[in-house]
Amino acid sequence: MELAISIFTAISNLVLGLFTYLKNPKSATHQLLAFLAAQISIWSILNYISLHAPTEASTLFWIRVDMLPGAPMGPTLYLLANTFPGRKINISRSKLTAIIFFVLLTMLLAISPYMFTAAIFESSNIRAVPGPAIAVFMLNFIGFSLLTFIKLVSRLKKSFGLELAQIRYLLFGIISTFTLITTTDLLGVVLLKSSFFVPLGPLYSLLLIGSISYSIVKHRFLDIRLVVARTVAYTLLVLIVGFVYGLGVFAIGKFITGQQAAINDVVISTALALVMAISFQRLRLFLERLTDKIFYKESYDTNNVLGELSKVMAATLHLDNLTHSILEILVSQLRLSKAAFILFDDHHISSVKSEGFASTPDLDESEVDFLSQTRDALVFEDLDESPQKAILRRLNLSAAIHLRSEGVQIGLLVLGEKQSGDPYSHQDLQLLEIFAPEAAVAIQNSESYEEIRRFNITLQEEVERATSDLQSANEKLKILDKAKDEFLSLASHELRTPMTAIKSYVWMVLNGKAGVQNPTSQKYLQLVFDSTQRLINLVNDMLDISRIESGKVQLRLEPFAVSDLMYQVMEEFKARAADKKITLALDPIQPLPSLTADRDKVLQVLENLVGNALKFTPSEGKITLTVARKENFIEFSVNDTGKGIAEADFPKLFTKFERGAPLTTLSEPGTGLGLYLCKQYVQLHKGTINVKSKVDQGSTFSFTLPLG
Amino acid sequence: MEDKTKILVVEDDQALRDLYVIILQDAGFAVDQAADGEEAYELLKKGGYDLVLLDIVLPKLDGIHLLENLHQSPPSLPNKKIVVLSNLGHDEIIGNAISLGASGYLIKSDYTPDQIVTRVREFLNDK
Repeated sequence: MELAISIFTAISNLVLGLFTYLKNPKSATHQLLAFLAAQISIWSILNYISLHAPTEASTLFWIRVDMLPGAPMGPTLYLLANTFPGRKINISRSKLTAIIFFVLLTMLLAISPYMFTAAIFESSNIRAVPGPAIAVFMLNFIGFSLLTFIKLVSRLKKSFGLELAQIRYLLFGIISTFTLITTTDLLGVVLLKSSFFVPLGPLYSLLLIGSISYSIVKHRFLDIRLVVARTVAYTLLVLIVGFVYGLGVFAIGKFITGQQAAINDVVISTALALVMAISFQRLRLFLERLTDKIFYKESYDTNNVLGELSKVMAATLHLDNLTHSILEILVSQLRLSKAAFILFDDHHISSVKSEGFASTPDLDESEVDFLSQTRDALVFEDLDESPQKAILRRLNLSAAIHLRSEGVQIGLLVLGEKQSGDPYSHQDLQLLEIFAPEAAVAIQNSESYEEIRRFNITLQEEVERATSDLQSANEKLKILDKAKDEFLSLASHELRTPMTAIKSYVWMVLNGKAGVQNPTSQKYLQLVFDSTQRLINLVNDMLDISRIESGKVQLRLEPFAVSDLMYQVMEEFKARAADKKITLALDPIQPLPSLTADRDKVLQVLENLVGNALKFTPSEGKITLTVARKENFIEFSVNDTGKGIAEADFPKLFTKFERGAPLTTLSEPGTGLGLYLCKQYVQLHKGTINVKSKVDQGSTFSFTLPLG
Repeated sequence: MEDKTKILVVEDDQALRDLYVIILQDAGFAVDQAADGEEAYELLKKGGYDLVLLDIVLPKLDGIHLLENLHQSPPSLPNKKIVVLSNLGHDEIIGNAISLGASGYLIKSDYTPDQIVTRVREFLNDK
């Protein structure tokens, strides 16, 4: 039984130490743990041998040797407590040298006669007689155990969450193991002078192994979940092999070959070893699968998660959706308590997107700067005491991953502890390392997109606002326009009514309906009549212009004979021309195609031009009307022998209320609107109107209208 | 005198109403007159006029509404022709009047009394 305990302890410790070391040979924590495991392993074997040595002399020798691995145990534990879970031994070089020297001294004393002077057999008890040097060993062992204890307790106070739990288990294992070993193997031997409890010593180390294992299984301590899994598998394997081997030897020896069959034993052992060798691989795989099932329940496939993340990053442009989806995947797949993106904009925090946080993590900008300074990702357990670690502790965060795109830090991905309380595994960190740069680019793209989108929204709002402004302005203008139309309509109506009465009654008098008037009255009344007619014309012109300028004039196009129109004009003005002794002539008209135009408007233009010519041509003058085809146009001309117009005044002729300066001196006034109206009507027909004139040589007004 | 051509002058402005009545009577027509829309409507419902000179801007009932009423319920004895004689030159109103059955639309200020008589004769002769 003692042998079984010793072998089990030794193998378990050895395998645990070896795998821990191989997992991360560069980390001091791993190295120290492996070293400690090796010491315990060796010690447990030596312990057994020392208790079962054949002679008194050899017992003393083995007891002394057994003390050797005990010498570095306390210091190693102390170093581990200082270092854990870092990668470098966190102690000054001089201190380390002193510790090594002290360990070597203890070891030297251990094999000297000064530590144990003798071993005495007392019935079933072996009593080792301690010498004066045992004090050094006790100082070493108890002293470093106490220092370890103090160190861990002080660290315990500063820790939280995961680290706290890990240190707690470590502390429990160390305290219980070393207290028991100290009590039974050292105090028992020295004070009670009994080695009765010594065989139990190695069993206590199982408490340390157990608590560390529990810490690993529960909290993935040092990321050696795999180590534990393998250790258990191999220990079971060895036990099974041993059992089968032993049973085989026992059974065959007892029932077939007898007790002295030593050669047969060797043959059978070899055969069994071969069977073991053949079955080993299958058995190992089976056990591995079994243990993996227990220890890897919460695992995920890195490639699957990365694929899922890539899909989201490729398919999502909206920043809120993108960050939300990424955080959701990370939290659910890596089983995190919480995660958040802290995004910067030129060293200022632009936005925080969180998942699983009770309240948004509140970092100030100096803290963000501190976290951004480091090159690598920040993992709480791996950090030495530093401002960064203090910030993570304050926010209860376990990790901060840099998001960098083209060398520019665009934000941080901060993560809370895992739901299980485990530390971040190598797999977790590897995944985050691969994923972070991709996320940085995706977020940056998304931010650009957001910016464009916001700009577009602003632009759209501006356009909508401008449009609605324009619409309301347009509505107002329409109302104003209608009001103006109505006003003009009614105002002209009100003006025309009394003017019609004046004009009509004056006409009655002029035409003898009120008896014969004397020539002077007749002359004066004629002036009243003419003036009234001018007023009426003025109102009509203003109404026409208002209609043209508001675009309300619509041409009533219909084909008509141009010659008929010319005869009508001649007929209308015949009497007035004769009154002024002016010759009104129409040049012979060549055969013309019928013209498609608004006949009333064309007539109005001709009336206007002939009316003007009559006004500004003195007695004995001549007015000649001409109409002829010019290519695809019909050209109408009105030529007079009046005073003519200075060329400088040409441009003013066809504008509103403008007339050439020489004309203003003439006795016959006009409204000044006539030529402007003519030009508008001609242009509505897509024709042109022109004037040719020389002072004292008369004028020619002509306009063209298109035929087709 | 029963076969005299019957003309109704609808005009609110007394000076013009008197003028049109005088010149048309002088021209040999039998002339009735109305100074507002309602009075005109009462006469027009009875019907039988050869020609009506209808103003648009009228008290009580304007010319357009009057035309609408007649258009909707024509009198049993019809009025042969209704010619609008108004100083309102609004295109929209001219269009309305024509579509409601007016035979013509004359702007008062464009005509001297003799021209009015000439146009009236033209409308009467123009079947």
